[in-house]
Amino acid sequence: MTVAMMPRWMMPLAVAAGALVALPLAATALRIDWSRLPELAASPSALDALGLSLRTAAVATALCVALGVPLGFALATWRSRAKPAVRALVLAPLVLPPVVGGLALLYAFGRRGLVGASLHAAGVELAFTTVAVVLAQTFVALPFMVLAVESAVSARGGHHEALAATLGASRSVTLWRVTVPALRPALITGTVLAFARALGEFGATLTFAGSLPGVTRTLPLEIYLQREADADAAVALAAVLVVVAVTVVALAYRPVVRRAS
Amino acid sequence: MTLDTRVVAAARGVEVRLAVRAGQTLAVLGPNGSGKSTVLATIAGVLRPDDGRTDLDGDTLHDHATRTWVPPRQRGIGLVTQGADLFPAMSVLDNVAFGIRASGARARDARTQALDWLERVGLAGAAHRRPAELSGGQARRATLARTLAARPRALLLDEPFAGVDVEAASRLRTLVADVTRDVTTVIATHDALDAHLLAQEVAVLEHGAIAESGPTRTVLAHPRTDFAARMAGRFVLRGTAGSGTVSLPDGTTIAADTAAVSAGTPAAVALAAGEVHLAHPGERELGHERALRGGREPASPDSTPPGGAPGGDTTVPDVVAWLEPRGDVVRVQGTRTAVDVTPETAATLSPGSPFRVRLSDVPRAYAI
Repeated sequence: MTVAMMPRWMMPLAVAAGALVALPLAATALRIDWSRLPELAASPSALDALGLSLRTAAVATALCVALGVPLGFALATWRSRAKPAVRALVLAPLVLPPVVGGLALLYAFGRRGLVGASLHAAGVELAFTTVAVVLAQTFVALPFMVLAVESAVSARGGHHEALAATLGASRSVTLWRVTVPALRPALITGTVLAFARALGEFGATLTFAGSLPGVTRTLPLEIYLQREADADAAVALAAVLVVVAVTVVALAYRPVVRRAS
Repeated sequence: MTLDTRVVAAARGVEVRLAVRAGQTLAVLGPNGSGKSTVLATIAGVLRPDDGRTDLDGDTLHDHATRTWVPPRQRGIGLVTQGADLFPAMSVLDNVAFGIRASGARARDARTQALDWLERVGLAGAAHRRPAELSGGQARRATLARTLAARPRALLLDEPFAGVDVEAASRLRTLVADVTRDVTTVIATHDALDAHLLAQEVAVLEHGAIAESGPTRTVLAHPRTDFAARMAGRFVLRGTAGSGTVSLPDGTTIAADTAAVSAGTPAAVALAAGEVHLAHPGERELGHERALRGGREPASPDSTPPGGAPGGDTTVPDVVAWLEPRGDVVRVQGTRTAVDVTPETAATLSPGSPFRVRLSDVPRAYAI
C-alpha cells in the first residue's frame, strides 16, 4: 500500500511509547558494572535462580497450553448468558494484584486452605514448594492464552470445520488438521505472552511459594533480594532476565512477523 | 441414490420440498437471498433446520418428527460452496487426500488417489501448491476433486461458478457436467444457463419457497410464473387462446401457434428479449441495429417469418420500467415485455416512455 495508514501526529506518540519502554532498559544497561558482570551473573545463586525460573516458566507455559486452549475454545463456542461473568472470572488474574493472587492461592491450596487442608491430610504439601511456583505462574499467565485462543476461535466462522465434517472427518481430526493450523498465529502469541508473564512472576510466587533458595527462589525474587545486599548484583541479574525474555520473545515471534510482511 | 428433502428454516423464511431421482441433477434456480444456500447446508447437515425431513436412498438422515439427526460426517453428502473451501494450511494434494484419509485410508494411498483426482480435474501440476496460490477456477476444481474423492452418495454444489472468470467458468461447467453425470446432484445457481446445461430438473426458488418446478426445458421455455420467467431470462404474456392467436386482456392479439391449447382457455406465450425487437419509435434504426447484430431475421418488419403466419405483424404496447446496460446493448425492461436495443436508441427512451415490441417469430402458446 502506498497511502500511509498512519496520520503524522501519531508518530511523536509512537516514539514516546518506545522511549517509555527503552529508557528504563537503557538506564539499567548504564548501571551495569561490566567488569563484574560475568562473575555476578554466573554466581551459583544466580544460576540456581535462573535455572529454576526457566524450568518453572516452561512447565507453567505447558500447563497454560494444555488448559488454556480448551478453556479458550469453550468460551468461544459456549452459548450462555452466564458467559460474560465466567469470562470476567477467568480473566481476573489479569487485573488482580499478583500479591492478592498469591493470597487466593494460599486460601485454596495452603496447608489450611479450602483444598489444601485435605491435601495436607493426605500428606501432600503444595505451598512453599516448586509446584507452588508453577501454580502461581500458571495462575497469572493463563488468561493470556485463554484470551488469545478465544478471540481467534470466535473470529472463525466454522466454514472449514463444516466442510471437514461433510468430508467424513471426526471432530478431533478436524481440530488437529484444520482448526489448529489456522489458529497458529494466536497460539504462538498466547504461548509467548504466557511464558513472558510466567518468567517475570514475582508477587504471587513470593506470597504462595515463599523464597527458598533453589526451591522457590526464582530470578525475579533473587533480583529483589540482591537489591538490598548488592545493588550491582541485582542489576547484573536484571540484565540476564531482560536478555532471556527478549530472546524468547524475538525467537517465537519471528515466524509471525515474517508471514505478515 | 434418490434424494428427498423438506426444509423449514423459519428464521430465514425458507420452506422447500425437493426431490432428485438417482443419478439426476436438479438445479435450484433463484436470486441471492432466496434460500438456496440454506437448503443445501441443511441437506449436508451443517445447518439444523426448524422442521423437515431428508431421506437419501431409503436412509433417513434427518426427521424432525422422530428427532432423527445424522451428523454431516456420517451422511456421505459432498458440499461445494461459493466460498474459499480449501483448507489454507495444507497443500492442494493434502486437501484432496483429506476426505480419503478420513475414511481410514493410509496417508500414502490417500495421496495416490488424490493425485488421480487432481489429474482428472486437470490440476496434477498444482498438487504441491498452497490453496492461496491457485486462481478462483483452479481452487473450485480442487474443491470439486476433494469432494468427489470422498466418494459422496450425493453432491451439492452451491453457486459453483460464482467468483470464477468467464473462461474458467465455462471450462468448469464442462467438468461439472462430466463428473455429475451419474451422481445425484443438486446445483444451486442464479443462472438459468447452469440449469440448461447441467440439470434435467429445475426448481425455481423465490423468497424461500418454490415458485415453479419440473423438467428444465419445460420450466425455462414455458414458465408459468413471472418470477420463473425472469429467472429464465424471459417474459410471459398471458391471455386467452383463439385460433392461431392469443388475446391479451388489453385487446392486443398475438399471432401464436395454438396447437397445444384449446380455444377459449387461458394461454400464455414466453419470449426472450432477444426474440423481439423495438417497433416504435424508430423502425428504420431498428433494421440497422439488427443488421449490425447479424440477426438471422430479415431486416424488414413487414416480411413474413418462416411458417407463413403473420408473426411480424404482432406488436405489443408497453411502457418503459427501467433501462439496463448489458454489454453492447441496452435492455429495455417494460412492465410486461423486454427488448434489447442499441445505446443510441436507448438514449431516446426513459422510464415511462411508451414503446411497442414486434415479435420476430410466431411463439408457441401453452396452457396456464
